[in-house]
Amino acid sequence: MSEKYTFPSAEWLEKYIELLNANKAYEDAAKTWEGDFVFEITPDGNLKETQRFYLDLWHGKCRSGHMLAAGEEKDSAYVYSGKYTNWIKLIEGHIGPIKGLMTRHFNLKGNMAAVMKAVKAALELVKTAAEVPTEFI
Amino acid sequence: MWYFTVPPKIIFGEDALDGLSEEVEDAKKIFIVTDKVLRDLGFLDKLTDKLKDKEIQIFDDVEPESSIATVKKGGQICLNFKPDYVIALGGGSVIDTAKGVWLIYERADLDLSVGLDPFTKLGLGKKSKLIAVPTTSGTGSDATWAFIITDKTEKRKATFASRELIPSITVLDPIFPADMPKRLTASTALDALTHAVEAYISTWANDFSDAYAVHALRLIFKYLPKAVTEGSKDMLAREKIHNAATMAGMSFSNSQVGCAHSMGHSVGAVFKIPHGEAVAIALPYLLEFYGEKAKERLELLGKMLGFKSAEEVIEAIKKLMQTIGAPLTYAEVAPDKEAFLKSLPRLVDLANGETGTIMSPKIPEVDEFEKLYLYAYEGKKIDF
Repeated sequence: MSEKYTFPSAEWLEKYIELLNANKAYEDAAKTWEGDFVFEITPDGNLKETQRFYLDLWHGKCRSGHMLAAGEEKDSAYVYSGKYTNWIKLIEGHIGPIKGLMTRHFNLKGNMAAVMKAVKAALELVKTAAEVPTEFI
Repeated sequence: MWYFTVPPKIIFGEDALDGLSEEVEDAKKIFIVTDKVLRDLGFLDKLTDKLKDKEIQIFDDVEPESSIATVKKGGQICLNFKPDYVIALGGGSVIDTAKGVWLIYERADLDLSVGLDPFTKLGLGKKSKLIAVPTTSGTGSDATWAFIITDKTEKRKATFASRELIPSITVLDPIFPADMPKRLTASTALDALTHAVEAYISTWANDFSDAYAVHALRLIFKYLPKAVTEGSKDMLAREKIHNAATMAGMSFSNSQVGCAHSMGHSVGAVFKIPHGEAVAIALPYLLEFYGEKAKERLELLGKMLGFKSAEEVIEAIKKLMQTIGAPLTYAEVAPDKEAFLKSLPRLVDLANGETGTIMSPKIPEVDEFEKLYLYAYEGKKIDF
């Protein structure tokens, strides 16, 4: 039985970045993308405290990424946030990343118009998350 | 949470234009966006005859596949004129341009070059209201909350979306499409057909969008051949197709279109193919490609339209296209195969980046998009 990674955790994120950088479809779809993200998971379900992680996404690759400590400040072009149970639905494929925004399951701070031009890349980001053997809290 | 956003008022049927004059009774100044062809056809006179006591400014510089520069030009004239109403009289390009003009008039501070955030509260409608009077029966733009204009430098379409962009009133008077030539009748209605089918099988489809898509398709299958062959001799068919186009617009505006529009937009932008033909050609190939992913929805749709299976729905679409003399392959509308093959990487790249792509029941990978274009060019049955 393959190892499972708890979402969210540094181990999960490390595996995710490895798979994302091996994803040719993402590389193609995001080849012109320039913009780093903070992803925020707000308390809900079994998650008791807000968790955040950072991804530096540049031209189809993730140049770096790490979990952010509580209260750690991090400037980024975008902040994509939602409650934990919605993140579970996203990773399990029950909500799409853009539909998630349109239905207000998630919020985005940053240039929404630019994100709407990169919908296939957004989808590949989520598809990659689904490939990480994940266990939820 | 989800929204269903449609025009608050639709005036339709014979003499609907009379209803428009009642709606703008209190207005002093009206800005009309149209094009020179419609002016020459006398359509503009039909409208202005109903607005005799108003001060009117006309902007008729809209070209097919309207550009950002045209929208900005119209916006500036509108800002100087300060109207109470902006009326769009025309097809999709005119109505989309008018939405952009109205947006600039209402919010001159916005920088359109960075696009539009659909969640930003724009506060439109404080200076004026937008009224759409479609003269073709296809785009559904009179019932949608987005507008598409061409970025001529990059040879691509740019979409601007906000629920506040929905026209306050749409006026569906069949007098305008009555004398459309056969090919225009067919190609515009095929756009409506593609809107309705894609809206119904979209992953964003919902109870409300389904209702409008199904009835739009009922009307199109029943009345389109008559509308094409009989023209103004069958005004009932004209009226029904005119209504169907708006209903399809109400549907897809709230559930999104899919890959047929992604492929059609890119082919249309690169090869100057009429939009309705560009999207409709791709549709049957995509429905075959979606296979099991769309089968259940297509079967359900088929039952409501009187077809026995998903395959019958696809065949019925092809048969309808044949009946009205529409092309079924890209080779028929872009005969230079070498140019088509040379453009293939760009076509795929553009289609891959379209929003509609991710709303489709099955999202093509890059190599699948390539094959879809090639099969749609040559008229081959999908086998992958």
